[in-house]
Amino acid sequence: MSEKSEDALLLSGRMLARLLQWLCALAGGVVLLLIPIIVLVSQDMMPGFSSTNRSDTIEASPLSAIAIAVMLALILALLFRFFGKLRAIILSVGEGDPFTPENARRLDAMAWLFLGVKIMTVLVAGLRLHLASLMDKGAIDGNVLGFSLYDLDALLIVIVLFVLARMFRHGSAMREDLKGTV
Amino acid sequence: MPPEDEGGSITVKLDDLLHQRRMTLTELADHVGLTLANLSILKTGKARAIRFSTLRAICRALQCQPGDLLVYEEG
Repeated sequence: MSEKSEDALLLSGRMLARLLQWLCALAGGVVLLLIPIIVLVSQDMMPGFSSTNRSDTIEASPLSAIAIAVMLALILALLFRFFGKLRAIILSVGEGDPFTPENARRLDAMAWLFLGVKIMTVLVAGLRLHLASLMDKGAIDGNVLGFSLYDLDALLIVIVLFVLARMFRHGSAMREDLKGTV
Repeated sequence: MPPEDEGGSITVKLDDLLHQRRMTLTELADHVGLTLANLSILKTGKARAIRFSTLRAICRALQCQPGDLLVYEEG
């Protein structure tokens, strides 16, 4: 691979990670703003909102709706941290020094963060299911209960990240040994 | 990777050998084709490992055996 194409790859990776961080922050802000709106709607303090389907959902169980919003905000916060660590790793690759204990720790943290995201996603799906059952409209969509290949992908990503972290830890120890070799 | 040290140490006798051969570290560096910095790391005992090629070059330049350069001392 030429140095130019490698640089383009690192640059686009870094920019994408930064963009995703911004998107997570933006979406997180929007979700946090939704929490007081949910509270107001559940207290009938927003009359213009009461005729919509969304208000039915909130009135069915305001606590569940708030819990979903909080968990979505947490998922976005975890993803924000995940992309931050990814950006730091890409930066270190660009600097020509990727095999460091710090990067091993970052990969470990990324694996835990992604696992956290996956667990929170399952919890959100459970809460959506709970809300749907409360509304008793038989309108439980496939996304709530469906099992998709994405679930396996996510687990695979977690495993790959843990393995990569171990490889980086081993690589940084070998590099440390090589440093003192004359 | 080798296991952690459990007592004992390897001492590099490069200083003594250079003194006996009336040779400076810079001259040795020129002979063996190593940088002065790397030889200095070896001389001060800060090296973690030594390549066979380095050992061979030093032994050739100083007309000695590896055992003259490296000594194991009980800790």
